[in-house]
Amino acid sequence: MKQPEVFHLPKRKLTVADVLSLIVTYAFLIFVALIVLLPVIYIVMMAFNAEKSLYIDTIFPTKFSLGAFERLFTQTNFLLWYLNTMIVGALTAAGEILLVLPTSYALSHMRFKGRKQYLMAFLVLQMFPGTMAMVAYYVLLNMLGLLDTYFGLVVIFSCTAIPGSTYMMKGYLDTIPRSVEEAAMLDGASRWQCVTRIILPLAKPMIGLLALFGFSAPFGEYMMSKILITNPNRFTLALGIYQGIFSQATTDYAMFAAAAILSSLPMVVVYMSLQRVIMEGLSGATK
Amino acid sequence: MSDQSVKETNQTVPASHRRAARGEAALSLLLCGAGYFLQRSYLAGVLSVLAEALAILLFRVWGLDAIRGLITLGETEMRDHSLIMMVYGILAIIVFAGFLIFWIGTVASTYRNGLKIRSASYTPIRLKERTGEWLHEHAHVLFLAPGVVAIAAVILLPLVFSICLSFTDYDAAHQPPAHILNWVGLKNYQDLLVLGQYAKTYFGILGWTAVWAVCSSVLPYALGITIAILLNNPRLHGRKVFKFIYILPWAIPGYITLLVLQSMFDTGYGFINQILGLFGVDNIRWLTSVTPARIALIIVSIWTGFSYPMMLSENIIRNISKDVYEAAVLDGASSIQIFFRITLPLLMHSISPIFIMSVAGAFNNFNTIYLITGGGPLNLDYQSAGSTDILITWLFKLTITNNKYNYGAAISTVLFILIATFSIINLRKTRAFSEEDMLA
Repeated sequence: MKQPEVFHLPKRKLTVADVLSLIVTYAFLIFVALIVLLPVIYIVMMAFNAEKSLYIDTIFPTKFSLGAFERLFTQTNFLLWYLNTMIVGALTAAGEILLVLPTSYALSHMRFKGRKQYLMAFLVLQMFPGTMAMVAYYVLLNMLGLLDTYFGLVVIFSCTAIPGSTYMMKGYLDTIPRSVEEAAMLDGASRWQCVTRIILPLAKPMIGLLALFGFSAPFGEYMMSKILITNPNRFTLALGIYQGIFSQATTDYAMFAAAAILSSLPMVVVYMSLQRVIMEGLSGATK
Repeated sequence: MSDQSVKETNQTVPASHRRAARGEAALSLLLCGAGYFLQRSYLAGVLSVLAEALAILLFRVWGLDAIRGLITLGETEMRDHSLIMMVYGILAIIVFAGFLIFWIGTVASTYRNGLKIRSASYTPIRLKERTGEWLHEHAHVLFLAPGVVAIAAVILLPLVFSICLSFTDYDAAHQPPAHILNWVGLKNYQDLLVLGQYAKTYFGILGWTAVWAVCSSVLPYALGITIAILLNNPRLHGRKVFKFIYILPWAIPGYITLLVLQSMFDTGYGFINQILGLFGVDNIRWLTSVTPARIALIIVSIWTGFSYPMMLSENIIRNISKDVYEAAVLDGASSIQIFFRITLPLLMHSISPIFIMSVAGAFNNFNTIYLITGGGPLNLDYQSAGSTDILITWLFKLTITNNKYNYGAAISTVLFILIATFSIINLRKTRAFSEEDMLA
């Protein structure tokens, strides 16, 4: 979709007040930018530093080294954690989409008794975070023998995301007029054909967005994984980096920095490059 | 649709028809779906009766014991596991409540069907067509079923389970299966909210939780909105570069940011104290003394949280219709008037529901607190909590470290009620509920 141009007032001659306000604006924006960049610069410096400790004696490391990356791959199971996280992420995305699509379609494009109550219930359930039910999840997964499995994590990640994602998806589907479907049905199309031929193709951007969010869920989540996963071979990145590197008795900070960079880089690239699409999708969903 | 048609026919159908339909509905109430047989809807009748038979069988074989187990929570130690019995009991209640709703639905639909087949315009149709019609009318059930079942199992069941736990004595001294749990009524709530050391801790933490929830949502939104507005200045250059930088905190996975920031706030070697040292500021004990720790947390929440509202506001400002502005300029409005009368109100109108949800989210912002300060520094006036603990991290500690599962469950129940009430009251005031397209 083409973005509308920003509207600007007709340009006047630059006054002193304008120049002053422009200077203040620049100063403020640059100050915030520096603060934002500070941790990023810090972590990059640390990763390429030959020292392992937290202390950096000069702003630019004098002793450049790739040792931290080497240690990361030889001393820890970094690649395994990465793989685990991607498996959980991919399954979460798939599960979430399969569950959210039919629900949001019904809530958006069908009219039936109790529809408002469903929407209301979803809104309330959306505020219920998994943290509150950690004992319940532990007991339930234990009963089902799903502790220490990817499946347990996937079920929790994808199902707890249903209410929120359904709201997003419903908002998006609402922008597809129902008259399109009604016309198709008058022409003899079945409900199923409407869904597969009209709705699904139109909803592709939002499906992609949900897939992205579902995929990145295990990359950012720490607590639920900590409670449910104890086997080091099943660690996700969050668990591995925190328990295997960060909270060791003598933390190898350079190695931590290297792990932080490698595990966030793909996410940063994807989110940055899809930024515009994501914002369009979200604003469509919240309209 | 179907409701309307029933209402319409209601005015025209003679009382005798209604009486007959009511009689059939009553029969359906006695035996699920039996009324269908009188209406010659044999398939529907057989299926409904079968459903009831299945439900009764399930109830005899499993449900009765499960619900009894929920009431007693077991009698023999080591043989009865109270927690598992509780899960089955809740599951049984959810399943049979579902059946009950189906039954009531059957009674209502027997009545509707009874009116329909007696109306003058009704022409009997073949079973196949009738089935097709039924499927069309009930298609939403098929679409909703997967999501609803998943929510019932993964959100509703754990939610009810947690609430149930808060009425038991499940703690370090009572751990199944070695011990049988007991229902203790409101005792946990009394301990937490009314008397003793825990109540003191609870209200102390509640105060900071409220401050934290407000600060860690208002400040990032304020900064994000400010930046979005500043970026909208036509004379500004390098907008893309600024935006690129500002989006970084949103793109980096949360816990990575938090761990990095935690090491930057380190007292002895942290990067922040190093930089402040250049300006002659003495080492600040960021994470080990109360006020600096709280300030550090709020700084962190601003750092991690301002990108999203910035992007949202930017998008909203961009999407405000040009016509509105042009009309305002034609009417001679100044740029300041345009900002305060058009841009800002429209922005607030669009962003307020998301803002309210983010306040609700701040109450549950476990990661920031846990990974930055871990709730510390320890507060000796508190029961196993630190000065920067919020309710959700305290309940985590009570549960995981102290095995006070019952208190943890009680706190999470109170917290859920607090958040849900807050959000619903506030969301009602926003467009989310007033406008047709959100809850339409």
